[in-house]
Amino acid sequence: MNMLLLEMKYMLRTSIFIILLSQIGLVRSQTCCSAGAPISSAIDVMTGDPKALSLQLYYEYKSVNRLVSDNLVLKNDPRSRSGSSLLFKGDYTLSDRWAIGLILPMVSQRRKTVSQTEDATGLGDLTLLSQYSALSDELWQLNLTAGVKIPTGMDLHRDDNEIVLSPDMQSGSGTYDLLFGMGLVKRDLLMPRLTNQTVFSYRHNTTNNHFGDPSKMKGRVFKFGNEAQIATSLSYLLVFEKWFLIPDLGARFRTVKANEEQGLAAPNSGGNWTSLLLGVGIYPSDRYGLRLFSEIPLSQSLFGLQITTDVILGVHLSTNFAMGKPKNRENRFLDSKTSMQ
Amino acid sequence: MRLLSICLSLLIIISIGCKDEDPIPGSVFTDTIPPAGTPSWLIPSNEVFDGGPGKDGIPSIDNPSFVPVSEVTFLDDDDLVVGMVRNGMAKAYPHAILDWHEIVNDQLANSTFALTYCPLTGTGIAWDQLVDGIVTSFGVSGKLYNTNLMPYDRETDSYWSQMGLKCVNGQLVGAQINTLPTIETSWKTWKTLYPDSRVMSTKTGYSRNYDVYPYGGYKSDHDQLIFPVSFLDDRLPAKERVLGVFVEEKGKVYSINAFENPQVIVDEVNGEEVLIFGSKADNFMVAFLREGLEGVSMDLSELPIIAKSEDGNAISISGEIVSGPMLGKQLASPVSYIGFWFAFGTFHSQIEIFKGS
Repeated sequence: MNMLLLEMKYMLRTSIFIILLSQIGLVRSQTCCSAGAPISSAIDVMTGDPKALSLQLYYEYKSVNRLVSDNLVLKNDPRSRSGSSLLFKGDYTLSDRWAIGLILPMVSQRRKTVSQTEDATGLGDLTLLSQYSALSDELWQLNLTAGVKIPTGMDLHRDDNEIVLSPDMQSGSGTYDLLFGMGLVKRDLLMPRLTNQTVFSYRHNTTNNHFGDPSKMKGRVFKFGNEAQIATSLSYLLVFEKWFLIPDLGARFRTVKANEEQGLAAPNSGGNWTSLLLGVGIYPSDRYGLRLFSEIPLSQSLFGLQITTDVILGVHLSTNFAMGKPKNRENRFLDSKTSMQ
Repeated sequence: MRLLSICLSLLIIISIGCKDEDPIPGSVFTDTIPPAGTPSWLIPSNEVFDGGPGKDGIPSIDNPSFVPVSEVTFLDDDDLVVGMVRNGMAKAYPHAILDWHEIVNDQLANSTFALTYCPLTGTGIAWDQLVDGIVTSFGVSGKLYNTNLMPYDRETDSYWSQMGLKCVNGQLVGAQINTLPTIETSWKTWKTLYPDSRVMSTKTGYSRNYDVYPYGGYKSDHDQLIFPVSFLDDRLPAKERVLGVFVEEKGKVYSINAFENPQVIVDEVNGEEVLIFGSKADNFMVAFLREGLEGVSMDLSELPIIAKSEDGNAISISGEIVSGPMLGKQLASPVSYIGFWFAFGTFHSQIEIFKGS
């Protein structure tokens, strides 16, 4: 009986750990115009047991069919956009404090009008991340993240007439960009098993001085607008025999500066978005997890005329492997015992 | 064993991500990148840019509706319109609508035409829809050359250059476009000139915010060009409004500032004598071949008459002689249209600028 109780406690501890992993989806890109794929997404890396490896796979579909002029939603738009990305993420914890990670996306963009459908699919930009855990105890966790996006993605997708497609249709941006993030977790908020996570992230983009020109002699001078976002969510742990269910609910505010063309702010780009985040994670064992998530825009205040996202749907698969001695297992057991009551 | 399973998982995931990734023509991973100016293009294809909305992403208006001048409430006096006058009938196409649609396929009297308008070069040009023996409508391709509109024709799907006035890619490559004369002016002047005309309505079939100019401060910011151009001529401020007048391949531009005082300029373009009428206060510039008229002077007292010749011919803004010895004659128009200076400087290297007489 004691062995069974210990096993259940261990599983619960692991599931709490996975909660944090599953929340990585908090920081996801919203518009169709973020070449290089969910660049801002998943900038958290895990912290937990030293020498633990986590492998994750995201699939995300975006429907981009809302035409907005400033705050006015327009009708009868002959165009539609959609995008999907398959994102592989690997994290490795070096120590109690430090972790590293990488994100490798495959990006597919579709632009459809009454007379033409154009697709562009390819490797996106690789992102390398490092994370420092400034605070980690039974109730609080504070992570600081920094990363760099490397232009491994394709940025020369062309149409049927061999004309290079616009930057927002490309899989990569052709630039080195910087990512910064801060994540705060509060466990047992108000009640046991209720967790709040708040993530702030900032993406600093650089300029592609020769977009569309493989010779790098001419081309278009283009820069995606820098963006900042803050997302907060509540998740609750439900325990069923040997598996767990974690629903979560949150909101995101995202602000993006206008893109730059030829060194000056481009009209019809940038703005502010607020959206609702919904998700549910299912964890049948301590190693594997499946999470379904969605993002639904609540409001937007955009600069000029833009087509913007009306819904995001996604799936997140995760697995993890502990290769070192787990830290503070006994303390976690005590904590999980409380949580299980 | 655990390490082995980790390695296997990594390999599987990486292989899933990579194995279906076919080389994409033109990508950095192939050697099939088309060189600039491939034979199928009359212009350097690497200077053609994708504007973003896609083909027909900016919807042309193919069945425009019109209202009388008296019912127009969405225009201010200073707002610009592009007017068409044929056989005594007149229609006006407001920039406020053209900014959102760029092409209107329409007809007036016996003419079918596409009124093409590029918000980024400020050029409104009426294209005859009869092209190479084919009558076709035009749509917005979503591509830009020298930051200027590239229409496509719906009969052959060929791509055209608005200011180049020719087909640059596709079945009709090399074909020339014929233009029809237009009158670009302010709403205030237009409704004075043609109070009985019809004005394109905002009931376009699309819900658009026609009260808002969709390009921010672009049209007054001389430093802002959204897409690259092959050459930038800085002899005039980039967004200064000029009238370009062309006789065959050679042209000359006239700045609106040359008409601080309403005047008619008698000039020569490519050896052809032309009359350029303009008034900055009334915001119009039009050009006609001189056709033997002598002693022409401006007279704006009886609009739409704008000038009279010494032998008593009264000339309307559409070039019709409405009284006098040449009554009924329609003065021929050279190819002429108004736009931002930089666009003329880019498309027509070292084009002559009228410096004043």
